[in-house]
Amino acid sequence: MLAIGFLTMAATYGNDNILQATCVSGEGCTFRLLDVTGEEMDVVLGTDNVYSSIGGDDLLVHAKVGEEWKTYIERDLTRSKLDRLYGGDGYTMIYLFDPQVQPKDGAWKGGTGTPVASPCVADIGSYLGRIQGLHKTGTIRFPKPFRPEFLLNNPYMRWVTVTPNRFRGIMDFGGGLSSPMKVVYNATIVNDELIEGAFEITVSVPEQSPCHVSVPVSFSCIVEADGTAENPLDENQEDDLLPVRSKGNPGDELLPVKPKGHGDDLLPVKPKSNPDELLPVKPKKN
Amino acid sequence: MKTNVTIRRWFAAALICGCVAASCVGDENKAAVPASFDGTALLAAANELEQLFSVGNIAELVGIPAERISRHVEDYDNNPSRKKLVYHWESPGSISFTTLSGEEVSLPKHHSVGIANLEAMDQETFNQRYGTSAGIKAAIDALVDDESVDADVAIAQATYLAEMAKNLSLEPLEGVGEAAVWELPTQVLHVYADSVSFTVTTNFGDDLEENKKKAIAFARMVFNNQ
Repeated sequence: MLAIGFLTMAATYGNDNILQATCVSGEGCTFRLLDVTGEEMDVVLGTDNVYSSIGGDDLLVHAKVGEEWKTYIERDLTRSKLDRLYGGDGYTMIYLFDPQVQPKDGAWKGGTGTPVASPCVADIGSYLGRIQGLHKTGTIRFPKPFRPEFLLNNPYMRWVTVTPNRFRGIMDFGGGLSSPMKVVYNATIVNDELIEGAFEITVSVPEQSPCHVSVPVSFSCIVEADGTAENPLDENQEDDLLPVRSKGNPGDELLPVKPKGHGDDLLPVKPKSNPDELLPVKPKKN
Repeated sequence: MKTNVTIRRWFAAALICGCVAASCVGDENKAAVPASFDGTALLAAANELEQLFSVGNIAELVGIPAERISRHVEDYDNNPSRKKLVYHWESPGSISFTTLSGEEVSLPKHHSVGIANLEAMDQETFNQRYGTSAGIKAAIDALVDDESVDADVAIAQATYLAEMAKNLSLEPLEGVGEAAVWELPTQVLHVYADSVSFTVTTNFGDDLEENKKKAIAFARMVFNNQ
């Protein structure tokens, strides 16, 4: 009876989030229910009614072609038939993550490159310390399974998976075209030992051209773990690489970090006691 | 006179060949459990199933050169009973689609055969799980009860399983292991022997009989190679 009620709920609530298939010819497909809607994906990716058009029975497919991923919408085949088309056995299940792309366990070195800024009147430099503080640097260990939220875990950052190895996150302070500041983080898992990306910061100044700053970032695996490495998501908040904890007001995020002393302006804001600090943004629950 | 002898010899030879062929056809639908089969040892090898088969074994089963066969291990959640070992190869035909950016793409199709769901089980549980739709109902109930599963994921998975249950067809097979069930439309063979169950997955195209025949042959290989 409970199951019947549960399945009735499915008809009502199960169609908002996109079902993504990651397919490799010969290996079949794995499936993941995205925690964003098509409308949200269109906003983050800057597309016009592309992802919004994906219906409840459709599948967003990432197919591996050589070393690249190609994306299309499958409107006819079921999960099982799609899996069999790619050589799978037709038995499919939904994973909470995309198991096809996973950086190696181990110690990684993260760093930022030289920012490139367009000439503008805004004191954009004051924001850079803040941004670099949000971003992980030093020796880090990625969670397994990999989630882009770990690159920059902020409640206002909306992450979407562009392809299984490319992620795009947006923090929009104000929303829409009139937003005073927008941070876009594009990250690509180049291979299981290298992640590259860039922060793109846009600050809008009234009656002036918007200011753009690009900060390249990279992570490289320096020591591969022996398989016994702990999941960094299980660590406590003593980890000094914790991301900044939001104070609840998006406007506050614009404030630059006040360095505690010389040479430590790359340190993030000291987190308050919050065991969930490293957890990714939770998908909405119905 | 000599002609008659020759005809009789040809007739006898043909009769023998026919009997051999008939006996082969009979064997095609069987996978007897040899006395040497040890279910416990098979379970112990769950983490290295790929050691059980050589690519040559698969090439012989499939009837194509070994160099065209690739191996894929699906072990995403570190659960031996959910581990899948799949052998695949390019097959005729292609997969075509148009990407979101308007690019026309064509990929080679693949066929595959593999093994999954290896776990310890008594025969009653096997019959209940694979011989009836109770297995799917139990999976749905487990999803409903498991509060650690994200609600959206649970709903999507339960809906999928319920849809599968609607079209489910289960055929018990005699002479394959100690018990076996051929499941459609997924075209997988569930096999039980010596307190162990496993599932042979097939994708040789749309020919159901071909898939079933190859699945039984694969089960035979599991019994004989272990």
